[in-house]
Amino acid sequence: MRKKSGIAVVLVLFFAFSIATIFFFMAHSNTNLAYQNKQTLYQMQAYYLAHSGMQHAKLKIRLLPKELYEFFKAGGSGNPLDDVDSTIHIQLAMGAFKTQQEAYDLFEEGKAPDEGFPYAGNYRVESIELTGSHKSMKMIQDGYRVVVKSESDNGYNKKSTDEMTEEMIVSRFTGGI
Amino acid sequence: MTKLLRKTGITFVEVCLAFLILGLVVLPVFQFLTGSVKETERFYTETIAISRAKFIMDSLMFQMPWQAIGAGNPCSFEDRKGVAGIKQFISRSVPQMFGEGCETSDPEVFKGDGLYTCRKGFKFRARVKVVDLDQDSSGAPIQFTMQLPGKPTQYFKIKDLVPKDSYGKFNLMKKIVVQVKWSNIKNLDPNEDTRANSVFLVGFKSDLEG
Repeated sequence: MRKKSGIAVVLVLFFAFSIATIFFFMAHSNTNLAYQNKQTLYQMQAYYLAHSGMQHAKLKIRLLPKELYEFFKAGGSGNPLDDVDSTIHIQLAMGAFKTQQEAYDLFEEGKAPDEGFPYAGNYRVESIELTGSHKSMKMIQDGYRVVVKSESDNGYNKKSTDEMTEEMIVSRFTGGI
Repeated sequence: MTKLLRKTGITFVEVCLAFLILGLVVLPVFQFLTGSVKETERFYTETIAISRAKFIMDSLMFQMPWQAIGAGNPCSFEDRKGVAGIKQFISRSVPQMFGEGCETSDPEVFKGDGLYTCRKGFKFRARVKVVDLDQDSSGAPIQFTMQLPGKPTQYFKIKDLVPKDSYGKFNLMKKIVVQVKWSNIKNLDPNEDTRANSVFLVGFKSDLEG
């Protein structure tokens, strides 16, 4: 019977251990939620840059459909959309992340200059290939497969990338997609 | 028998010790739970802000007509071609995107700025800045190149490819910056909170309508 003395302390220690375990997992869960929110934002930023790149690519394809076809017809093997690259245009170049970008604020005067960005990033057309031409139709149409890559950069360990592939049929003479 | 019963009971010292240990454990747990509720609200507001920024950027990148988006901080929305459907779209979608305060004195013109209050009473300010990346606004404007095999590179300027738009510019791309700012204190305008948080999204919209 003597062995049962002190059972309350053992029970409380067990209880305390259980609470501490729950405490740990709850803290861990909250940390995960914060991480997931940040990752969602970075991925979203890369996603919109990829869409920006795809729209830029479509713009060039719409404006220069005949020239693009002639590039492939003449045996061009490179990337005729290599100028659809945000890093080579001053107005689109977001550059690399700088700590000053953390002060960017649309609600405060002078903290959102026209040439400034709240974070860094880039997009580019990785590749374009001619998938086919339809000559039997009334309008001559060409099929292309375009691959765009993008990256968002909010600082060290705060980067995200995205890739988008789209197939499109373009009217060679009107540029209609 | 009486002796046996006494020996199996819990002593006063044991009870005191047990309460002491329990108190030491429970106190930080209660502190954590209080903090956890605040943290959960912080994540909740952040999630609302991110989804609102996404809603606005999706609407501008994929739904709002190119000609309806005017440059500025905040940007403006108006139908410049007199299309009834676009007017209706703007008058319905812009207040949904930005909330209160996006109206102007002209009922057909809206601005990209407003205040939204969520069900729990947190306030979110959304603002959009749009910059025209037109032919004349930069010393090195966007241009297109094409190099056919064996031939020199051809350069195409925007003004060689399209006429001026309804704003009188040779323009094919707009830079869109979305900011959603919020306070973690209920019913407080984020502009009045020195510890307000913000999320940003950036996109470049091309004119694919012309």
